[in-house]
Amino acid sequence: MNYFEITGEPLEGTYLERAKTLLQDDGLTYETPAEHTYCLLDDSGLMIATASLDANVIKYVAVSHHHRGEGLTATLMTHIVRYAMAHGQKHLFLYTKPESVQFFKPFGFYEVQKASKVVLLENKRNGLASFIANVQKETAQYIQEHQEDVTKIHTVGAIVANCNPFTNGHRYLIETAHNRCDLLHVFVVSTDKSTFPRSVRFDLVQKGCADLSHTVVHSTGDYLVSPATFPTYFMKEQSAFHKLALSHELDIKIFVEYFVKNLHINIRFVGSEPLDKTTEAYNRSMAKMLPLSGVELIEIPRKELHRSPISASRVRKLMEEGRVKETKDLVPSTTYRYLISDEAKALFE
Amino acid sequence: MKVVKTGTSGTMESSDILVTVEESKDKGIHISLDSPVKKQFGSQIKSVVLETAKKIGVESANITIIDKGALDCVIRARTSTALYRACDSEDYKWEAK
Repeated sequence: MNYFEITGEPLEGTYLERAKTLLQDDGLTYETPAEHTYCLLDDSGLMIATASLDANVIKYVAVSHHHRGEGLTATLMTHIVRYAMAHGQKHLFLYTKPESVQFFKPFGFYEVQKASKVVLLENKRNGLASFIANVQKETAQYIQEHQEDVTKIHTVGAIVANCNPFTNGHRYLIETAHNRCDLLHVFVVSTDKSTFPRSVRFDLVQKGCADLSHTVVHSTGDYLVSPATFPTYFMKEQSAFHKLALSHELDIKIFVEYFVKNLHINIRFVGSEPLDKTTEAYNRSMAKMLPLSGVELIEIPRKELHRSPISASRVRKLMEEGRVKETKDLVPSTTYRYLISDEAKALFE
Repeated sequence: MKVVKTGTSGTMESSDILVTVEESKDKGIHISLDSPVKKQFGSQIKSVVLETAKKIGVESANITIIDKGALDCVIRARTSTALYRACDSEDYKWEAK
């Protein structure tokens, strides 16, 4: 069988409309545009299959009902996986409904976690388990290097933050949390969808926390989802609120079953979210679900400067406007040193 | 030959195999295999891959394989291609008759 292939980065126009229709037939909604979409058309120009890649997540996968059983999923997945690899994205994730897991496992995907209506898969066997083992190793190394007394560690805390870039607001949150526990894990979101690349964000957090005792910095390894990437597009639930709740359930379950269980975390610290509704909703879900697993959620009010909360977006806006000197009061000296560099300037050009 | 970048070859269609070759920090060829017939033919698939790497002269690499029921000749073809791509080489040593 000969099919025409088309791709879009992102897909637009009539091809996008046709892809949306194909997805709708399977109860999928094309929400935010995906970075790369691949479609197959038959010789009369009819779209018969589609799949997309957005950073490291495979989504919007559908095959026309008239072309089932032809091995088209293999064609879709081969293209997407090879495209991802060619673009340096080796570790891939996929969300789907429990009934559809069987269609993706043959392509080297393994279950990471199952929630009531959504399952997360990755293309690494025991990926999450080995990641956690590595976090444990990093922690043991830190304890040894800093000669912390393991017998005195009773309260373990955790913070998950993007830090795009690391500000005085983040520092305040981490310092406050650090005062309330014997060991604090700071997880820097590794998904690379932010202005500052993940290596820079991670480095600035490490530098900004270097003076704090019993505080160890790790990456999230893409396992703790940034609220911006919650998978709601394949859920049939009508309300956006309900869909989001289901996504939160999955992320929190991963946090509990892997991070909490293996690192013996008692408290999750978050900064209060007066402005961002998505993050606020996520905090509310955590406040409800974490105590059920013996984890306390502590919300720390945002640090303010001149009566408005210090936020990373404020720093980014100033950088965009070329007003780097005005960021001095918003960030620690370690971050400021980076912001005035040519490398940082280049990110905003 | 030395692996200098990621090289891929193949597809995930039935009877084919997708081979990805990457740089390895340790010596030796490390293989990760995903195959529906892993129990029956896993060791054979791995030995064909190792044989192919040896023939081409690659001593250190991380090779990830997603097999969909490929025969030895297909495994050899895809593996050699992925290796040459990973080594950025066109010094092909096809089988002599």
